[in-house]
Amino acid sequence: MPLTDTSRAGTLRELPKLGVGLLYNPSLPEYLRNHLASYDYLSIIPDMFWTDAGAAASPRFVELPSWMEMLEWVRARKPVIAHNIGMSLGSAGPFDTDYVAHLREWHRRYDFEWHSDHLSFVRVTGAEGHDHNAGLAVPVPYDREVLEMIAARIESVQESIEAPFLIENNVYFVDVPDQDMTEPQFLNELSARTGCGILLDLHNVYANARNHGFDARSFVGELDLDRVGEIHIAGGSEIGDVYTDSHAGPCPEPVWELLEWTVPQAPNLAGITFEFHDSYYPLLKAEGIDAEMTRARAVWGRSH
Amino acid sequence: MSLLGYQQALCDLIASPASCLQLRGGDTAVLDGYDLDDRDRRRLRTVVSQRGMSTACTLYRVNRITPIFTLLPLTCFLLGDDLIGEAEAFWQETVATDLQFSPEASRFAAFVRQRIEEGAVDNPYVEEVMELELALNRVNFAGRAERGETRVRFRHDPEALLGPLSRRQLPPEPPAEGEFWVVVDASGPEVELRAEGAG
Repeated sequence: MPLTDTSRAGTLRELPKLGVGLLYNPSLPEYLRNHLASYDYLSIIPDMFWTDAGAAASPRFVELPSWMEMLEWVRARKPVIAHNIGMSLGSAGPFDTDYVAHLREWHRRYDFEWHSDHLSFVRVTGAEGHDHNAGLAVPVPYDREVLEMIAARIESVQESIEAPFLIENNVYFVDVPDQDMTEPQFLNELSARTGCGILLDLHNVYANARNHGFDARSFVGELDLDRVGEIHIAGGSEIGDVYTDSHAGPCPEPVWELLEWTVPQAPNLAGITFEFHDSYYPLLKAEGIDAEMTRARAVWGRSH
Repeated sequence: MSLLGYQQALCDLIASPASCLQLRGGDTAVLDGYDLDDRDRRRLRTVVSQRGMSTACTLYRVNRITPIFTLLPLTCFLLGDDLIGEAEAFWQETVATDLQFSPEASRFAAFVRQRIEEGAVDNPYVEEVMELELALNRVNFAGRAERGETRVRFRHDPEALLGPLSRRQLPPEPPAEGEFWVVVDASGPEVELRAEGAG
């Protein structure tokens, strides 16, 4: 395998510069219908639009009609991107190629501008051979053998799905000792090896910096920022004395400052996506979402 | 390193605060049965002693209870202090390959039905209220063309029961018993509930 994938070197430069967008959640349909001008694109988690009956089931993926109606409505009006949660790229067990094939079918139907998933695993194969859900996205150790495994899987995804693929940095609550690489080194090498882009979740960086006592700008500065195609911003909350990525309402001030600092250095950035959990809609309300989008658009506008 | 063994052990620890405490206390028997090398063991012993491991354990439980609590809120209210015990028994018994809301709520409902049959659930209203919530969920996930009327059988007067429950209160007096029906009418733009019949 070549050290750098030059075949996809231009892909990130060709990403359409979409602007500012929202990650879909079930509190949003009315907002999306009534505030079309506030967002340039919608990011969706495809896994939320279907139920997965399991690998042995036929059909395996059963779409949720009411959600599909909303997707069709938005797709007719705005670009849509896919933010997957089910590839489980970091799982040591078998890679779910049927899931990737289903995503490919969705790309054919909805023409997503790009898609992404996480540098973690959500499925683990138990001792009895069945897959379990890990209950949360668990970061992988940043070791060489893990990089080899994930790089091969990203190559496989990119061979199957034409749209550019981005990998998202983790939020993590424990420090794993004796790792071969730091997270920026791992992401940079993964991106260089496979040609995939980076989805830089600045709120994850902020949460990690706050919990583990490092400088968020230094972390971002270690990343190869011309590989960044999308940025996530969000809010969080504390559980005990640990700050979590709960997507609890508005984006905190340090994340805005990090966004201001990062965007001018990311020449291939194509979108800034605001994420919030639907249970916080009563806190944000439409006015609160508008405020977040307006502020994100101002940051975007200073560099685009 | 056995990545699979490491991931299995880490996930089992995240799902079991008791095992974390055991390992934190130096009892490495918790790691027996996993294919681990020395580095894996060192990593796992290190992470269980970090404050973030408690956060991971909490988030695991939050993420598992959220689909159930979101789609079956009145069922959860009626289970009351038994909810966590029932949920933990459910998590022990049921292998979830995904945590998608609708399937997870349906799996939990099947578990609760079984517990009702076994006589392990005391609250007399759980079964009918849970079936109503499942019917509402089916309507909410259905497309407009598929939405119509669904009838759910009640053994207690639904008006006397559902009014207080909507305010997260139990009925001040036991509702009349008999054969009642609640019609979930989704034929119009809004979903409406109406009670029918009395035993």
